[in-house]
Amino acid sequence: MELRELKTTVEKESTIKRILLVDDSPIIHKLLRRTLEAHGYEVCGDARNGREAVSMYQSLKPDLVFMDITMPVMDGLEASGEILSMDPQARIIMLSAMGDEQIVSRAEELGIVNFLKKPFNDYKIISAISGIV
Amino acid sequence: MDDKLYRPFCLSTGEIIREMSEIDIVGMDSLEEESSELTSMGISSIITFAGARKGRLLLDMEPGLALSMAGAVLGGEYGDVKDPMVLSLVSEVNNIISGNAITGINNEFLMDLRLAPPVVFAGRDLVISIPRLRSFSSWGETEFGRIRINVAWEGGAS
Repeated sequence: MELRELKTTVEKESTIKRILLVDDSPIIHKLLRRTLEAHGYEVCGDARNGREAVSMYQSLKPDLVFMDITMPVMDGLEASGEILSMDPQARIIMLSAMGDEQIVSRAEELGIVNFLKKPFNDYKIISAISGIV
Repeated sequence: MDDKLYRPFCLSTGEIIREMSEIDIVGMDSLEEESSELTSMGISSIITFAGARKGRLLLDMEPGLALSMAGAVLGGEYGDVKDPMVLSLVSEVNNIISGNAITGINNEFLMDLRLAPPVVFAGRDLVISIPRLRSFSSWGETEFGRIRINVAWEGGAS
């Protein structure tokens, strides 16, 4: 499916509008924000570590979270565990440079809806969102 | 030297830089033991990993390459390697290169390696002071400047 066609399908069916970004790299925030805003999503918050993500999730109640794994203070798996224990309906997509079998299976056990490996492009991001709507 | 613990970093460097910035690297197909101090070519990033063993990857490149990568990935023009976005980009590229290489090593050897957040610094001819470990470097060329990776594992090269 072409990106434009995929985007139209996602827009029609999606209940996802507001997205929280969690990554310690400002580069990833900039690239993800550019992709998401170009496709009509609102980035409602930028968290730099897992601890900030848990706190911002509670206050912002986003429709979706893009979560890195390797971060200072609290990593993305631990933060996802805390978010999902507060809100079992939380939708979290892991976006990480790491993707070995052990990490992916730990993410699945936690209830992570999708796991993407960096680097990414627009198609990968929009496909991942379409996979959960 | 156990090639399987070093070669993935060479392959990952070429693949990731091409995928992110469409810049091709020529070379980076052999590894040579470093016998002298490491000095920076302009901008360098170090990432450590630990699990069943400990190790680190140094990513080092000439300023022209870092600036061209920043322009290609982020859009716009960059003229100073000390620009926070350029530093952050090199740091993230190292994170992604290491993550991809370590993912393959973990899947093959069950080493349960995890990355620490990378550090990055800019400055030509800086002596990079890192614990003395037996290490191996691989060099590459691009149309914008040279690039080198240096890989070290605690406990030697096997």
